[in-house]
Amino acid sequence: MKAYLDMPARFVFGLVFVYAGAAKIAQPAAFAADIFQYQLLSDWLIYPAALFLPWLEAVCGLCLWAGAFKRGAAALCNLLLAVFMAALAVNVWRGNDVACGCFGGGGGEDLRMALIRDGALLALGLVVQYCAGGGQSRPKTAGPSGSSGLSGQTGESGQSG
Amino acid sequence: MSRLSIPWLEMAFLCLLAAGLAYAGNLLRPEPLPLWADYFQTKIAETRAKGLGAVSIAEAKRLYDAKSFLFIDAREPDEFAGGHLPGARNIPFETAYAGLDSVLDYIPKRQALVVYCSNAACPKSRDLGEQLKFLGYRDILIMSEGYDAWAAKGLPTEAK
Repeated sequence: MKAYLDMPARFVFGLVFVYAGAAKIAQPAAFAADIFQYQLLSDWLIYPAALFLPWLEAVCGLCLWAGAFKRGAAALCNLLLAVFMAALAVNVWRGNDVACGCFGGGGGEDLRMALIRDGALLALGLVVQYCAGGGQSRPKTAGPSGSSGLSGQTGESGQSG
Repeated sequence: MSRLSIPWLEMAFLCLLAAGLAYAGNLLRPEPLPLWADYFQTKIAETRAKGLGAVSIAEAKRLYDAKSFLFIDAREPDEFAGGHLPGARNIPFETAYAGLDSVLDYIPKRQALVVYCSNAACPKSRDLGEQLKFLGYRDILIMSEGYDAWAAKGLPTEAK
C-alpha cells in the first residue's frame, strides 16, 4: 500500500510547497509585509523569515519530488504546516483580518479556510511522512520481482538520519 | 521505532541548503532585502526617505487631542467603514490615480495632515503622503503603526 501511495502523495505534497515557495521567493518584500501583519515575530526576525522560509518550502518540495532526503523534507514540511496553522489560529482567535500570504503576497483568502486547507495538507503530509518513514516499503508477501526503484528509495531513505 | 525517529541530520542539511540559497538569491536581487534589520524601523526610514515625517501612536494621539491636524485614512472604504479615527477623512490611495485633486479641493494646502493606513506593512499611507506632498501639502506626517495599533491601544475610534 505504501508503495502505491508514496509517489502520488509526494508529488502532490511537493507541488504545493514548490508553488508556495516560488510565489514567495518572487516577492520577498510582500511576504515580509504579510509576516509583519501576523504580529507574531519580533521585528528583527521579519526579514530573515521572509528570505528563508520560501526557500525552505521550495527546497523541501523539490526534494519530495526527486525522492531525495524524503524523510527530512516531509518532516520539515509538516513542521512548517504546523507552525503556519498555529499562526493562522492565533490570528483567527484575535479576530485579525490579515492577508494569509500562504501563496505569496496579499490575497483576500479567509483565514479559517486557509486553516482548514492547511489541516488537509497536514493530513497528506503525515501520509507522505509515513510512506517515507523507512522500514519495508512492500508487504513481506511481495516477491523479489515486484521490487522497484521506488521501494528501493524508500528503504534507503529509512537508513539515514 | 525507526519509523518514529526524527531525521535530524536531513532536516539540518535541508535548512542549511535553504539558508544558503536564500542568502545567494537575495544577493542577486536588484533590491536585496536587509538580512538583519528592524522591519518597523526600516519602514520609518522609507517614510523619511520620501520626505515625510513619521509619528508614533503616542505622538499622533497628542496631535489628535490638539485638533490642529487633519487625519487622513488611506485604506479602502469598507475598511474605513469598519472603524477609523473620529473625524478622519477617507481618501483611499487608489483615488490618487482617479482625480485626487477634486477630492482634496476642500482641504487647504496649509492644512497639516496625518496619514495612516492599517499598519507599517501597508504602503498606502506612505504612497498617499508622497502624492499629497507632490500636490503641494507641506506638513504631512505618517502614522506608520497605523489604525491597527491605534485601535489595539484602546484609543478613540468610530465606525460609519
